[in-house]
Order: sequence, then C-alpha cells, then structure tokens
Amino acid sequence: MVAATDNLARPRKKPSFRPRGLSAQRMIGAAIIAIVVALGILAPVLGLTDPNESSMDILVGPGAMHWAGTDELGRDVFSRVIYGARVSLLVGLGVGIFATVVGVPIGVLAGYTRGKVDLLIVQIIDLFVALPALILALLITAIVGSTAENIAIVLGFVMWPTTARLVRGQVISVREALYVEAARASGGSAFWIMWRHILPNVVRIISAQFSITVAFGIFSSASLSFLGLGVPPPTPDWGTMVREGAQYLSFMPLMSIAPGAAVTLTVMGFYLIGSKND
Amino acid sequence: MNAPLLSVKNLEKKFDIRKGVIPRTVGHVHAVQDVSFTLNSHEVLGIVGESGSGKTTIGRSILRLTEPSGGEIVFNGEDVTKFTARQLREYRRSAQIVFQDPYGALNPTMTIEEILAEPLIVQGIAKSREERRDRVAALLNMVGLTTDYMTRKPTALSGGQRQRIVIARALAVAPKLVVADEPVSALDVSVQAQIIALLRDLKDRLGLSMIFISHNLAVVEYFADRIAVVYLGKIMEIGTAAEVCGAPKHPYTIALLSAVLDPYRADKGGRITLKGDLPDPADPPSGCVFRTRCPYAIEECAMRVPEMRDASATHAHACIRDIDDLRSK
Amino acid sequence: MTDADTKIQPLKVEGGSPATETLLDLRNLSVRYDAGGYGVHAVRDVNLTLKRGEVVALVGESGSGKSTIGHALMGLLRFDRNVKVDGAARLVCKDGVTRDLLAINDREMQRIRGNDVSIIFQEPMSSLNPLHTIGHQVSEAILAHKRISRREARERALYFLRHLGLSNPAQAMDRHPHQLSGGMRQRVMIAMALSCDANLLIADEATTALDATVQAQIIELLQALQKESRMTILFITHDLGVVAEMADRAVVLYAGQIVELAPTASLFRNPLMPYTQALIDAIPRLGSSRMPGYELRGIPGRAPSALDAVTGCSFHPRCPRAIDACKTDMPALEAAGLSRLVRCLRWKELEQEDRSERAAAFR
Repeated sequence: MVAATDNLARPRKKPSFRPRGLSAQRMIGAAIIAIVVALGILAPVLGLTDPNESSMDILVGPGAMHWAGTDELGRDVFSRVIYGARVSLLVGLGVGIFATVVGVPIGVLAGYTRGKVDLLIVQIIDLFVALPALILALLITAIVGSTAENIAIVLGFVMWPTTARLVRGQVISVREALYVEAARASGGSAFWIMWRHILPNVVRIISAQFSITVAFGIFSSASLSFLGLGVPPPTPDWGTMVREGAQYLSFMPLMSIAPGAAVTLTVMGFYLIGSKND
Repeated sequence: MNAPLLSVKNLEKKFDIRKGVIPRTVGHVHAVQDVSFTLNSHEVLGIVGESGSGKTTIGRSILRLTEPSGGEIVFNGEDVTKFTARQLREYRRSAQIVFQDPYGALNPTMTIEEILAEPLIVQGIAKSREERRDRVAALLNMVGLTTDYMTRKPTALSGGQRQRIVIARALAVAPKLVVADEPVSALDVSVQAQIIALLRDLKDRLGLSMIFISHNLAVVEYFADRIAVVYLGKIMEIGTAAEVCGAPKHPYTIALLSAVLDPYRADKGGRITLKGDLPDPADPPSGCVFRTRCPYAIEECAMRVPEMRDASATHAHACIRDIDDLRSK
Repeated sequence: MTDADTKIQPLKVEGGSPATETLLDLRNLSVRYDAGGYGVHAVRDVNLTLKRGEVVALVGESGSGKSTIGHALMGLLRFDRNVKVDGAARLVCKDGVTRDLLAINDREMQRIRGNDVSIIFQEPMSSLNPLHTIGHQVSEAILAHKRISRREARERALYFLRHLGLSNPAQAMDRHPHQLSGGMRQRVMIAMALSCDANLLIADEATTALDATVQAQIIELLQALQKESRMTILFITHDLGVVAEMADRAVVLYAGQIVELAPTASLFRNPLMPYTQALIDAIPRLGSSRMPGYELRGIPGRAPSALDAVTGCSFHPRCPRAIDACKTDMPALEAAGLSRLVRCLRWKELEQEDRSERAAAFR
C-alpha cells in the first residue's frame, strides 16, 4: 500500500554540529573514565605516598602534606583513593568481560535457534533477573570467600543474564528482518547471515551494555566491600575505606567521603558512556 | 523448449496454530491448498488475490523461503522440494525474489555497493573486488541509477530508488525466474508506473520468466501474460490475461474486476459487490471456500469442492455454476 | 435500510441545509516545520471552501501535504512545538457559531471533535482500544457527546452497527477489535464517526489499507450514508480511482500547494495541469490486455519533499511540457472555467494543443 504519510514530519538531514554518537553526555563520561583510568595506571609513578605506609599522624585533616588527610593508621587518604581505583577498575572490567563473554554467546544461541533451547535459556535468564543481584552475590561470596578474582567472577555470574537477554532481543529482531530473508534468498548460509547481519548489529548493543555492566561491577564490589565481603586488607579498596571511615565520621568525614565520591564519580562515568539518552 | 520452466502441482502449506503456555498445536491454517499451475520460459504469470489468499505464501514456497507442507515444485525438470542444502543454494542462482517492502529489504547499515555485492560473494560469482565492483556498476546502470549511489546507504534513498536496488540485487546472480511479491505496492502511484516499466524492460532484455504477485488486478492485467486468481489458498480461475479480465468465468474474478476503481471504466454495469467478510482461515467454509460471499451460491456449493473446469485450452475456473448464463438473464 | 425503532433519530445533518451553504472555509492555510534552524513548508497557502452536502477529495502523493492539511484540521498539529500553522479554517458549527479550528483552544477542540467534525483514519487497529469491546467503545463515543443513558447509547451503537452492514451486530458488540477483520473494524470506525451526527467527516486514507473488494463495500456504504444524511465529506487519498468514485470535486495537491481544483467529471475528462494528466496516465487502465500498444507511463524522478527547494513551478523538473519560464516563474492559481482552478503557466496553450491533437485522432 502506498505510504500515506508525507515525509515531512522530520527533515531528512539533521544539521549536525558534531559527529554522530558523541553527545555531551558521552564526552563527559569518557572524560571521567579517562581521568580515573589514567590515575589508576599511573598511580605508582605519581610520586604519591605509599598507601599502605602507616605513620604517626593519625586522623589528621587535609593539609599540605596529606591532601585528603590520614586515616586511623596514619595512611594517606588521597593516595589510598588513587590506588583504590586500580582494584575497582580491575574488578569492574573483570565483571564486564565475564558477563559479555558468557552472556553474548548464550544470547546469540537463544535468539538464533529459538525452539526448546531458547525456551530453557529464557527461563534461566528470567530467574536471574528476578533475583536481587546484590544479595545473590553476597551469598555466593560469603561461601566462596572474597578475593578480587572471586568477586569479579561472582558479579559477572550474576550479570551475564542481563547481557544475554539484551543480545537475544537484538538477535531476534534482526533475524526477523526482511533483509535477512533477502540474504537467505541469495543463498546465504546461517554462518554468513550471523557474520554479516546479526553480529554487526549486536556489537553496537554489546559495547553499551559493557559499560553499564562495568559500572554495576564497580558499584557492587564497593557495596560488598562495605558489607565486609570485599577485597581483604591491606589493599586499598574504596568500599572498605568507606566502611572503615564510618566509625570516624564525626571527626574525620573525609575518610569515607573521599572514597565514596570516587565510587560515585567512576560509576557515573561508565554509566554516562553506556546509557542511551537522545 | 516445450516443457514448462516451472511446474507446480498440488502445492500445500499449512501453518500450525499454537496456543497455551506450553505451546500445543490446536489447529491448522491452510494458507495454500491444492494449487497447481505452470510457467513457461519468458512468460509472466500474475497471481492475484487479497489478504488471506495465500499468494505471497505461494511465491515464497516456490523459492523455498517458506517450506511447503506438500506438493511438487518442478523447476527445469527437478523437484525443488527435494533439494539438499547444496542444491538449494544453486537453485537460488536461478530463482530470485523481489520483495514488497523497499524499506525493510535493505540492511540500513550497509552501503549500496555492499548490498549488491552480497549475492555475488555468497554465490561465488566475481571473485575479486574489482570484478565485483564492475558488476555492481553494471547492475546499477541496468536499473537506471548512477554509480555514485554505490557509497550511499539505503536511508538516503527514496522508496522508488530503494526498490530499484532490491530489483538489482535480485538480478545480480542472473536468474532465470524472478518472483516479484507486490513489488510496487508500497510506492507512490507515479513511481509505481516507473518501476513497472523498468521491470517490463528488464524482463524483455534479460529474457526473464516472472511470477508477479499483486492485489491490484489492473496492474497484473498490464504486466502478465497469464493470470491466476486465488482466494483463501485456492485457485479460482486461471487463464490468459485477456481471458481472465475480458471474459471472467468465476464470480470472485468478476467481483475483483468490479472492485477496480478505474475513472475511465467503460461499463459501470454488471458490478458485483461482495457481501460479508473473509471467513476465518482456520475454519474455512465447506465445499467452495468462496460460497459465503458469493452472490450466486446455492446449496450444492457447500457440498463439494468444485473441480477446475476448462473453458478453453488455456482458461480454467473452479465454479459449478455457469455465471455467463446467470448474468445475461 | 429503515429502522422501525422511532426512538432513534435517523442520520441527519442538523441546523439549516441548503446545499449551497458554506460549512468549512480554509483561508491561506500554511504549515511550516521548524527543525534545528530550518523552516520547511509542508503546506503553502491553501484556500478551499467546502459546502454542505458535498464530497471533496484531497488528492496527492507523498510530500503533497494532503495528510498535513487533514492533521491540521483535526487539531493534531497543535501538540508539536516545531510546527507552525498559519491561516484560518473556519467551521460553521452546529450551534450556529463559526469557529476557527486553528485558533480555538484545546478544550473547544475537544468539544468540536466528534460533535461537529468526525474522523476516520487509515488504520482502524490503532484507533481502537484493544482492551475494550466494540460495544463499549462505540457507546463511549456516543456518550462523549450526547447526554443519554448508557443503555440508550448501547442501543444506538447497535443500530449503527446494523445500519453499516455488520452481519451480526449483537455479536460484534461483545467482540474485541483484534477479533474482527479489517473491513469490520473500519465499519466500526465509521459507526463511531457517524454516531454523533457531525456535519463534517474527514476520511484520512480511510480505505487505503483495505482489500479491493472490501474497499468497494466501504465506498458503497459511505456513498449511501452520505446521500442519506447529506453530510460533508473531506476525503484524503492518493487513489484517483476512489476520487472518481466518491468525490464531487477534486483538489490536486503537489509539494504543499493546490495545483488543480475541479469538479471530478471535468477533471478526468479534461485535466488541465500536466501533473494531473501524468498522474491519471500512471494508473493502469482495466482492459489493457485488450488494448494493443497501450503503455503505462510513470512520472520520472520523484515527488519533492518539503526540504527540496525548487524555484519556479515545483513540478517543472518532472514535467514533460515544461519550458524555460517554468523554471523561474512560480505560477499562480488561476480560474479556468466553471469552478476550476489551475496552477500552470501554460495551461491555456496546452489545452489548445491537446484539443487539436484529439480532434486529429478522430479520423
């Protein structure tokens, strides 16, 4: 049937002042991440005080020597926050990678094959999505013990269904597309269709979801640490620092606020880059 | 060559109706039932029907884009329904499809060159990039577009231009048979005529055989040599374009002709307006499927499925009554 | 199709009815879209008068502006901040007051919709609520504008559904939209549109999505209803066949402007604007299989979208009879005989040419 609508609702050419995909939101997110990652990587060469070195200057407020003051063992808070980035980023990245490496193939499998396999996978996904992620992670970590690796794996394990579900949805919608049928009509094999049509469309979604998963990973590992199930001391870890600083909140609030702000900022950075906001 | 290029016998396609949380098959929809026809080389067969007629399913089944539930599809002497995957891929070099929707049929993230090169790559035609580029340029030329379209993406093209790309893609493998499934329905009227002229030109130049599927009888009359009229999965009438449109024998054909709104229509008399609506395809009427809307239906129509009767060597229809006699009274 | 139940009023146009009375007057109607600094005209300077009891068709392809005009009259453009509508659309309402549809506030528009203006859309499925039964929806439509009891509204709904040829109206009342066929749904839409005795019906591509045989039924139905109630119909369509069948007058639109306006019979007998002629030629004629040498001719190129800036006549790039002047001078809408308007620099000479050609063809 003839298209009844005039093509007038939106002009075809958008006057663009910046290349597509780089909104202000994404740029801010990218900037934050760049700073955090740089600080994390360069921490050892920045000339900071050793984060684990205790001193006699206990609970000193911010000053020239210690930019963010010291904690109850005389350790430099600022330095600990910077070094804390390393653990958080590693864990966050680990979660993102695990969730993607496990979630994507499962999502593609479910979306492409449909049928009984899909049905089963969907049930598993729904189960995981229904359960509160953090509590599940808590339980498992309590059982297997908290090391950085364990936390990353557990959180990744909790997060892969979300990625799988997203990927599955995308695969299904592309699979139903007329141009895929056209590829089949040309003689394209299942592999060709997957490679040429489905995966390129999926990659777009994966990268966005990856950022968000990393954000989740950082936030959740900080939460786990706060609850006492984090990376064991003396490794500087933001969540643990917030927890330890809670006792001294009335006279040295910076002990908790500094790492807390770091978590917030980093999570926000990853979230901004990954989430869609047109 | 006297043997037909394509011979379809007793084609059938059933869809299962599934209901329930754990899907169970509760019934069938017979999209296509007992459809038989032939297509000769260099001939155009038009398949005309409305929604629920099964015309698109017939087209898709011939190319095995939809798997037929039964029947034979003989192309160049071989039964397509029995092809292995490898034979099927080779078959797809000889038989291609032009889709209805020019907006969905092209991957919006690929360039035109990539889209047109895809069938070449998949079928192993033109192994080098330069060869492929040359062929793509030739294809664009064939459908009336310039080579600077190669780098564009489908979103930059109009409906008519996109449909030209869809046609070019179908022709990339140099097929003998092209199934055109409502190729112009989604386009503006003025562009429809352009594309029809293009298809006609290509058909003549390349010696194609075509199956032209449409709901628009006037377009089909113009384009096709022979016409098959389908309703609820069954053929009601089949014959040359002049026979079916000039001397229709089946009440449904007459109703379809009546429904064409042509401003310059010579005779406004003799119109049939059907009553009622399309029956539920999952529960079709007994006997003649058309009887519930037919102004000439009698009791006998419910009792058995009418056989195809020959009005001439080329013209057949499935109605037990003699409509000509009824209408001349 | 008379109903013995005298309680229910037959369909009738209220409030004075000489056929020459004006019902809707469009003056200088223009619609502009502002997007990111660009201002594009979807509709430019449309003037049209609709009289009571007549059926007028707005014909055009994509980019013509026909749907935009319809949307403007239905008040659908007021929600979009980027859209600027100029001009006036004065409707003579049932209470005798003349209102400008483009200037009234939302609440007044709400009252007018259904009461003075009813609308049928192309896709009945999206206009009907899938959660409620047909009976409920038609009754609600009636109750929105009439102070009657719920039971009376239901009876009235039943009456309309039967009147519209629904084979089993009582059953249909209890069904949900997805359980009905396209033709039935459209009939329900018509029932809803008619149930409030509006004087003006706007049908926006109302039969486009229907099968040919169903379209024939619906058109027959609309014709019968129109004859009975003498309501005014503004029919928006791209299908010239429908225009020939239904309309008293046809308004041909191209690139947002009126390019030809004529009584339907004259339009087809003697089209004056080359676009109209070309559009008519682009429709495949029935019986072509028995007309040797008949060739279907399309119009090269494509219809301009609002973004394309064209100097002179907007049709000149595609016009088979354009001359140099057409590229620079924008033709004005001129009177061309009995109730006819044309927007073409050459219409007079082209008419002469065609006439002598036709005379020569008659050996």
